[in-house]
Amino acid sequence: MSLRTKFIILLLLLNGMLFIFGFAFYFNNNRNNIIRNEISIIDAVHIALYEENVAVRGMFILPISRQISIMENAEKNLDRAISNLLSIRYLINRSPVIDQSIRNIIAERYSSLMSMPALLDIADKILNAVDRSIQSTANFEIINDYATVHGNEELKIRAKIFAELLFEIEKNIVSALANFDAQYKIIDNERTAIERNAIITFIIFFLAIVIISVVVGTLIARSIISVTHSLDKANKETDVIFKNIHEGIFQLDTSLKIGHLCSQYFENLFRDINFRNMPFLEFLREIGVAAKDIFVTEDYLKLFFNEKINNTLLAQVNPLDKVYISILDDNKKTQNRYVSFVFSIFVNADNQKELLGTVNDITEEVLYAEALKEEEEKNKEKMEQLLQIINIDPETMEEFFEDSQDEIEHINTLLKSNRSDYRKVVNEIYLAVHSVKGNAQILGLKNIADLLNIIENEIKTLLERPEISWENILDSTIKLGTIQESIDDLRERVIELQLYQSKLKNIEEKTGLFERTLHKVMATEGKKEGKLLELDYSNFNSKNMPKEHRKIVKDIFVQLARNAISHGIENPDEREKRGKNRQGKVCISLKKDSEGNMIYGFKDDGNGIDLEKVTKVAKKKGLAKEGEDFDISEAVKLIFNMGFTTAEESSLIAGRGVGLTLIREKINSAKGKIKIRTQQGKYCEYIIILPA
Amino acid sequence: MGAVNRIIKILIVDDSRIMQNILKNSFDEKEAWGKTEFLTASDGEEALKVMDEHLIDILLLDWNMPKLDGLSVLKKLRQSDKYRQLPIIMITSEAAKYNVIEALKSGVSDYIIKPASRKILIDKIKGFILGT
Amino acid sequence: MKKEYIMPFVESTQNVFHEFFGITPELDTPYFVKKEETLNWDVSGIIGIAGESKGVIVLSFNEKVAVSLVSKLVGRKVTTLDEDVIDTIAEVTNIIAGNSKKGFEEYRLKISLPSIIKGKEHVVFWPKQDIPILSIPFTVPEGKFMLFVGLEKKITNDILL
Repeated sequence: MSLRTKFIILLLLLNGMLFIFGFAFYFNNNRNNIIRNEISIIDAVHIALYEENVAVRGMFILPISRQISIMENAEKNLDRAISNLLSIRYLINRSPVIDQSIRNIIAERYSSLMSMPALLDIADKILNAVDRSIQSTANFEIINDYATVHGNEELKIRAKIFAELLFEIEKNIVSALANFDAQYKIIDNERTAIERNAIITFIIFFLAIVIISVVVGTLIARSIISVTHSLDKANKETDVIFKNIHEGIFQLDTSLKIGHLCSQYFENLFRDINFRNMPFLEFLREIGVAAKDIFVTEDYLKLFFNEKINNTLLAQVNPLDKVYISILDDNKKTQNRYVSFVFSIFVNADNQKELLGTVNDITEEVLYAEALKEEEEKNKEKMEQLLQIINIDPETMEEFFEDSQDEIEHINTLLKSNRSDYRKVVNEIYLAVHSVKGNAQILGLKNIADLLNIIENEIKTLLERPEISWENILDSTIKLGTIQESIDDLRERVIELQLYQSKLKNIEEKTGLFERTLHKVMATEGKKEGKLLELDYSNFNSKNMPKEHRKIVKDIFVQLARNAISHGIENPDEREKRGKNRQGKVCISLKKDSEGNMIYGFKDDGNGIDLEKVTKVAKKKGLAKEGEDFDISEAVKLIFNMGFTTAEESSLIAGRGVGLTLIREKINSAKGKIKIRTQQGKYCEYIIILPA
Repeated sequence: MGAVNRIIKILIVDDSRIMQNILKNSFDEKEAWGKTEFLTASDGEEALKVMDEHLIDILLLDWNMPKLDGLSVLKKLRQSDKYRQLPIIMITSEAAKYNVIEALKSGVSDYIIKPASRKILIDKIKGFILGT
Repeated sequence: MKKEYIMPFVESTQNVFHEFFGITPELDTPYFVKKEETLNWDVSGIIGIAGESKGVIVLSFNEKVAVSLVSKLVGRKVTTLDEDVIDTIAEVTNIIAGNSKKGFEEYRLKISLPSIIKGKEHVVFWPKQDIPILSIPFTVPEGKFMLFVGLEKKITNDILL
């Protein structure tokens, strides 16, 4: 539910409450009125009864005719009042008691006044029996007197009946009144009860509405508050983000004006410009972007608002992805930076399209990239030059340098002498360039030749001008300097090359790499195992090794050396006990046999072969029968041919690790052979024969 | 979305016959959308004439041509309802950003810079025909 | 090194001399020298260049010319290379450098505040030991003075582009 809906509901609730109260009051009023009306209807009965009572009472003293007419009136009123009682709805519906009372009242009336017609009739007859002159004024006494005077016995009797009826009626009316009062009291009580109930209901209703409204209202208000609280928080968070983010963020509306919301970084970057509400294109102008870029940018940005445009393409043609701008820094000094603007479209809260822009300072990246590119270009040029140089013999190269230098110096001398004939000077420069170019081309120095060619053409164009100015001379002189620098560069390459070549020679003259590697391995491993070693290579010269053998022999020798050190050669104390030198000796040798095969020898004066172990293992393997003994050569043959495991090989020939298996494989693949000669406790010699 | 049942007509507009052939040869007998028929035009005016006579599915358009250049053709076509939705791909050596932006402004559907890789060209056209 | 880097200085020198001394120096043909050959001058103003190109530009005078120019400026005869003369030369170099800035606007070049060296001392500012140093001789009635230019070669910026 949106915030707006919640507010509306709250408002509706409040209004609703007011309505309900108003309505309730109105309703209450209305009901009160009805009750009052209905009570007054009941009161009317009482009044009528009372009137009748009054009329009856007065019948003795006051003129009968008058009383009769009053009573008739009262009768009529009573009739009406009683019939009105039937229109009472509300009280009757609310209380069966009241209903009963009213019925009582009605019933009483009928029963109490049954004598009335008789009375009226008698009264009529009595009045007719007297003189007209006293008809209207005659009261009961007068009638009686009249009757006595006139000796009207009938009249007297009638008068008596009249009196009796009157008494009866009066009694009835009194009783009716009393009854009425009783009923009225009941009705009144009931009414009060009804009214009280109504008020209680009203209050309950009122309270219920209030409570519900308060509860609902509080809930809604709370939810509104929590939403606004979240909004506040979100706002604060956005503020924090905008303050701290290391990117310049800003917005542009459809008219490409810069909006209010932007990140702190953006504000700092463009602190000297009042950019808010400024058209973005004008902003670009302010920061020094070239006019043609601004032009393109306008078209570019407008494309974003076009639904159908391919976004990938748009990203690729961003004209502002690298722009050079001028801004003021902290010290009010102008700084030039490279920045990158990137745009994306988004829809804002009012459902309008806007552009979100980010700007980043990419100066370092750009400068770094440029430096890198320059480095690459330099290296590329160097390589190309080297390739071109190595094909030329040194003397020719030297000649080229000398000749070029001569040409340049000749020109320089000319310039120094300050000839005023500029055209002649430029011409001489042209000839010099042409000559050096020719030499470079012959030698195949492509790079320099190309450079010279370009310069030559430029000078040629210059010579075609009608006038040659001092500035043109300056230009040509500078070009000459460029040529000098390029030749100097070339010289440097040559020197580098010579240095390299001499280094190479040095290496070859010293002791071979091969022997030194082996020496190193032995020294390292020997130290690790605590053994003293000596490498004798007096019968070995790596120069005599065919190139194809180098790696394999190196690998094999290194492995053998490791094995010898770790297992073959004893530690100094043990050796001494055995009467050997404390230092173990490894001899490597190389000779050629009559068939041209190379024979490599590796001999250590260590433990040699363990005959007992061989025999044991052989017997276990079923390669020897019990009681058979081996001599050394048989043992070796066995080891080679009978598939002993590496571990077994290790312990037998006092070697470790790769073992003979791998060495054997290497030798096999080189189509060679390996032999072992050994004496237990004395030495172990490997002989490797490789075809050349 | 599979192959289309009819033959797709592609109009290649380039003043270089060689370029026309290169583009034509970039396509296989049968591509993902089925068979293709190629029509060619050497300048803008000819292109418009061809389009009047044939129902073209895709237009491959060069920029620099005599009589009527590619950009003008593009603008003219986009003015009429008939060709507003027509897929038009510019294949040109005009690589500067402002060129591309100009073309986008005038309603080009896509833009390829020469030399064009066959794969990119086929993929783009496939996208337009098969609606991927 | 491009002529566009140098011309602003040349033009600026000529303008300033014209303004201050009432003479426009004549330009002799430029040529190259080795760094040792830059030493024979008595007072030099050195302007550092950084940015697209790096190096120094040096304006060198000998005592005779300097003294005579300053005499013209201050209206009285000055005979030796004293503090005042040095200051004046410094000021002149400053103005020349300032005026030339406009010519660099298009390029990413920065020029430093000139510093003055007195005496036949070795100029240590030449960027690389072996670059050819361009010298541009100016001729005034009093004699000659020099503009030396030593700018590094930048591959991405040379005349091939």
